[in-house]
Amino acid sequence: MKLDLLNVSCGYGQKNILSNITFSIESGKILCILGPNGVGKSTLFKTILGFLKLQNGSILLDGESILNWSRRSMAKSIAYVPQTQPQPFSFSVLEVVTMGRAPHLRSFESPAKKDVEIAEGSLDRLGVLFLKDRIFSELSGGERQMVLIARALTQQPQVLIMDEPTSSLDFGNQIRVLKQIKRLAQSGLCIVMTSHFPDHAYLCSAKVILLQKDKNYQTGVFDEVVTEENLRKAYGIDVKIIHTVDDKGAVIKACIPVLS
Amino acid sequence: MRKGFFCSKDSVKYYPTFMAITLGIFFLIVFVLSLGFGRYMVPANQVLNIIVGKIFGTSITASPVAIDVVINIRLLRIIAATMVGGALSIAGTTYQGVFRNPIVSPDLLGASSGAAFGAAIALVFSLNMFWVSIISFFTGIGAVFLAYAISTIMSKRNNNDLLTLVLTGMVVASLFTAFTSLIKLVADPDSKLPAITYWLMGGLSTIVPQNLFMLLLALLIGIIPLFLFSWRINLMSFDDEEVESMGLDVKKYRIGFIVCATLLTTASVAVSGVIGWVGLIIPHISRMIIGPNYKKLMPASLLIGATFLILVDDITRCAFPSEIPLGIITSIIGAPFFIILMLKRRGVGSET
Repeated sequence: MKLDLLNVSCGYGQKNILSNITFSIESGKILCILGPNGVGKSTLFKTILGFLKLQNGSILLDGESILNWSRRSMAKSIAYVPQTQPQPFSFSVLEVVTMGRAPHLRSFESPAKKDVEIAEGSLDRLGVLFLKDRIFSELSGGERQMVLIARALTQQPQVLIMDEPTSSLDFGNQIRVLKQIKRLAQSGLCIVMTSHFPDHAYLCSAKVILLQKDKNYQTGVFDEVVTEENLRKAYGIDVKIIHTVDDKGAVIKACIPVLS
Repeated sequence: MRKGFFCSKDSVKYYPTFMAITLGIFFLIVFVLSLGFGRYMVPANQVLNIIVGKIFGTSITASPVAIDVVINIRLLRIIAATMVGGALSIAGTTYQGVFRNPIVSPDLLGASSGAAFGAAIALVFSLNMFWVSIISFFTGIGAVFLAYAISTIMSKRNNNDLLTLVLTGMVVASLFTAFTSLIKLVADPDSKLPAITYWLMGGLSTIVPQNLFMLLLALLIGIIPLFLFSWRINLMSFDDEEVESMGLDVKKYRIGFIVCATLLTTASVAVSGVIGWVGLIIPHISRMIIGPNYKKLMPASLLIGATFLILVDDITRCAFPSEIPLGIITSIIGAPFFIILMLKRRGVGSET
C-alpha cells in the first residue's frame, strides 16, 4: 500500500496555503508533518482526508486517484484520529469505538455482534480493553486519545491520519501514545501525523515533512530534514541537536532549544 | 443520578431489555386506566371489556354510557396524547443529537413559533379546527425552512454551520412570535383573542378525527426514517469532520434528521397547540433510564413521552373544576423537574 501526493496545492476556498507538495509513504511507515503554527499542517491532512477541496495536483492511493471517492470508500481506507472534542452524551467507550464500523454498515444497519467484536479487538490491540465499559467523556486525555485511535482502527483502514496525537497529554502519556503509533506502523499501517515536537518524529523513526513559512518545505528522513539550520528557518529559534546513547548503546537524538 | 446507584465508580450499566418491557407494560396500564379515568369513572375491567368487545366483536357488558364515554369521548383524546407525546419526545431526542446539545428542544428552529403564527391567522379568520391545524402545520414547516435557508446562505461565508443554524433559528422564531403578537393585537378582543390565547397554551380538547389522521400520517413519515437511521444519530454528536471521516455525509444526514424531527414537531403543535418542555425533559429521562445509544433511546423516548402526556392530560381533565390547558401543566411540571435533573446529573456527561 502506498499513499502518494503529487504536486498538491491546497487551502481554504480560493485561498492557497500550500503548493506543490509531493511526497509518498508506504505501509509500515510514519510521516510526521512538522512546521510552525499557521503554516498549513492541518490544511494538508484535511486535504488528504477530503475535508478540503484539492486545488491542484493529485492524491493517489496505490496509484488510484481518491479525488472522486465516496465518503464511505474513503472511510474504509483512510481513518482520522482527531484531537478530542467535548462529547455531550455519556456514551460508553465500547459504543464510541463501535461507531468506527459505520462505513462498513449499510445506512440503516446497526452494528451486529461481529462489529462489536472488531471494536473490542481494536481496544485490545492498543492494550486498553479494560476501558470498554467506562464513560468516554469522563476519561483522561491519554485514555481518550487511545479510544479515538481504537475507533479509527475499527474502520479497518490502511492509512491513519492523526492530528497532533500527543497534544495536551502529560509527558508519560505522550511517550506511551508514540509507542503505540510506532507499533501500529510496524503492523502494516501507513501513518500520517502532525506534531509540534521534532523529537517525536525521531522517536517514531518517522519520515518528516517540514513546512516553512515561505511555502517551501523539506521532506525526507529525519537526519536530512531536521537539522539545526532547517529548524531555525522554520521556527525562528536556535536549536541544538544532540546525540546520546541509551542503555543498550544505541544512539538517541534530541532537539534542545537554546535560550539566549 | 446513575452514579453510585446502579453502577460502580466510572461505568454505567443499563438494563435495556428489562426497561423496554417495563416501559411498554407501564404505557399500556396508563393507557387503559386513563380511558376509565375522569369525571365519569369507568373501572379498568369494564374498559378492557369495551376495548376487547370493540376489536373482536365479543359481547360488551358495560353500560351504554360507559361505552360512549370511553370510545367517543376519551379514546380519541388519549390516542392524540399518545401520538403528540411520543412525537415531541422523538423530535426532541433527535434535535439534541443533531445539535450535540442535551438542552435543546424540538422548536429550536422556530417550528412552534411558525405554527403558532399560522394558527393565529386561521383563528382570526374563524376557520374550523381542521384548517387551523393545516395552516399552522405549513407555517411551522415554513419557519424552519426559512431558518435553514438563511443559515445556508450565511454559512457560505463562515464555516460554523451548526451555530449559524441555531442563531438563525432563534431569529426566525422571534420574528414569528412578533407576527403572532401583531395578530393578537388586531384580533377581536371578545371572541378571536381568547381563542388564539387558548390555542397557544396547548391542549387536546379540540381534537377532531381528521386532524388525528393527519397527525398519524406525519408521524409515520417522520418516525420511520428516524428509527431506521437511529444508530447513525449517535455519530452526529461528534464534530462534523470526525463524522465525515467515518464515512457519513454529515450535511445530508443533518438535513434529513432535521426534516423528520421538524415534521413531527410541527404536526404535533398544529394539532395540539404549543406544548412546551416535553421535547426537552423526556429525552433526558429516557437517557437516564436506557443510556445514550439512539438505537434504544428512540423507542424509549416514544414510550415515555406518550405515557407522560397521557398522564398530564389526565391531570388537565380532572384535577380542576374546569379544564386547564395542557401546555401550562407541562411547564409547571417540566421547569422544576428540569432543575432537579440538572442538579442531580451534575458531573455526568459533558464537562471538559
